[in-house]
Amino acid sequence: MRRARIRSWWRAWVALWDRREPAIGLACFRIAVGAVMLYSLLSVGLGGLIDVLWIDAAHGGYKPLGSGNWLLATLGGPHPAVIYPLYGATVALALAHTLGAGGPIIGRMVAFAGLHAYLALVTVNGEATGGYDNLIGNALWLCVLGDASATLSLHSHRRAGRWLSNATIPAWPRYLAVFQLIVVYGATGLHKLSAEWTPAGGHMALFRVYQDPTWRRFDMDFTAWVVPLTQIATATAWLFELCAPLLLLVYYYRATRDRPGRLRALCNRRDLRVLFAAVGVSLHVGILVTLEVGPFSWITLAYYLCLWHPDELARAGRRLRGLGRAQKNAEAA
Amino acid sequence: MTRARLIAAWPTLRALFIAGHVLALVALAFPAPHKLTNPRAWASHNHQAELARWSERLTGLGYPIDKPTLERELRAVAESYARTHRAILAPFGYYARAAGTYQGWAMFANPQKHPAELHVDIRTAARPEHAPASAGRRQPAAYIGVVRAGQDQADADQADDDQADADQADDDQAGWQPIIRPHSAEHDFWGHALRHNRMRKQLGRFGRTFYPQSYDGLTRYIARAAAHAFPEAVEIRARLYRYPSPSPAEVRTGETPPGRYEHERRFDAAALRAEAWP
Repeated sequence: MRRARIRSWWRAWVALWDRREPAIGLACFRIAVGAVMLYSLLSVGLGGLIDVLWIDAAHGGYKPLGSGNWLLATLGGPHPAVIYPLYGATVALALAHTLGAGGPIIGRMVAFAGLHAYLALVTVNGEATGGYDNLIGNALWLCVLGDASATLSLHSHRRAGRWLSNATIPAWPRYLAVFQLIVVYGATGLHKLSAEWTPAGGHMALFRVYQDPTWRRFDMDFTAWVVPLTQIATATAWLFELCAPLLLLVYYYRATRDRPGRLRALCNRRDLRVLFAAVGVSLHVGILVTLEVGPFSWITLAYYLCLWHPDELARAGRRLRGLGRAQKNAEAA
Repeated sequence: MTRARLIAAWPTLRALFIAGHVLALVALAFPAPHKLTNPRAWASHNHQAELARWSERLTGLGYPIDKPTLERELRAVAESYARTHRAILAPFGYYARAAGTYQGWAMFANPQKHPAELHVDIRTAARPEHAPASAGRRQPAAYIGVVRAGQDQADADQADDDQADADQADDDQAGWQPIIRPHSAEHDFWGHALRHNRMRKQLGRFGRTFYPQSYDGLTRYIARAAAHAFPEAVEIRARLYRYPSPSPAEVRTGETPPGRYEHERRFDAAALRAEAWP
């Protein structure tokens, strides 16, 4: 009996990863990830910080950096003669990835090379890396696993003479992107053990963050007059992160909506992904406006594109285009 | 034949790979042991304040425990967690390296309650006669706050702290001018660089797990840039200004909680100017 149940679970697991879907979902993710990667790299280069951050003290940097990760060590370590060409190559790879150069094989190679080149650069100075570097790396690996340049790419334009194609690709890389997003939120929620996040500390975490000059963009003293708002925002962020794993349940109930169950019916009354996205986007917009934490919010929001089936994204795109057209017609009238 | 078998087995192989990937993500996302067992992190003002707070709360909830006991017990738990974590993580480490699937999501887990700001000043004139002797301890080396051979870094930092306290009151007379203060439009030397999120990360770490090598390197780097940008400077000083994070009431009344300077480093501007500079 138990063996039969395990066998049935395994069959369901295998079947789950066998699904296919239009390529546009992963293509949008690829473009967003490439753009964030470019932003992350160019902000350092254009800010004149390559020497400071990624070059060893012996050659003009501010601290001894060791030999770097396996790739950088193989290339010769954080020396200007290595770092500058590596930086140039990584920017070129990020651009190629964004534009979708190369088909299923070359496209994957571009993503894989970009991933390791990027990690070689950003991890060389361990005190100047952030969670967004990990998230960019994770996203690039998903683009290696999936055929991310099947549409909205130079490849599809060169092959079929148009940017959009009707190609279908395996859906599982997109599913894994959703899972990655859940892991990020769930883990960061569990990390928040400081009393300040919890009722024990009066949910004062956000107020504290705004008093620390390290991250805030501008003077945040006004928050002392709206402390309850910061407390609500703190509690919302903390609960949102802790509850993020429940999104898996939402997907499960959506996929099995024809089965019985009161909780399932309740969950399916509304599209709870919209609620999840609304809270998440609000939090990230708040972070973008008030804190300078690099491209963290941008790369996280790139993962949000994977919350929806590509057909839903296409429908949303058509609706937006329709709205634009209606507005133009109204203006013309 | 082999190809046909591979195609037939592919869905199962793929499902196995994905199961491994999912397990790896979850395992790698658990708090990194080095962060939980880092003695510098445990000794930081922020951690100590957090321990005090939890000890207070737990005692209030009917579980009396003092701060040292709580710290000792938590450190023991952290050590044993670190051992278990290392064992569980071992098989996934190779995958993380090959696939770049590193995880680490301790974002704002413990908000800073004792921020540390980097303050940099230059002295443009020869020190007046009435300035204290302690404030003028200049040596031929460009880096004046040097750690002497055989001296422990912690001792050196303590000595620097004492020095900073002694000097603080005499700053104005000694002719120091601020060139770097966070969020100051007036004292914004190197601001474009210090405002970059990666530099903010480094500065934020000075306030938590203070690594003297990084601090010494960065302060020297900035001092060298300042020596070239301010030809009139004769001496450059970098310090961390640490203060308790103000409460909402203190912010509203405009009260500034008293802070103190730590980790002062002084540099001879002429010697820095003589060094090669890109």
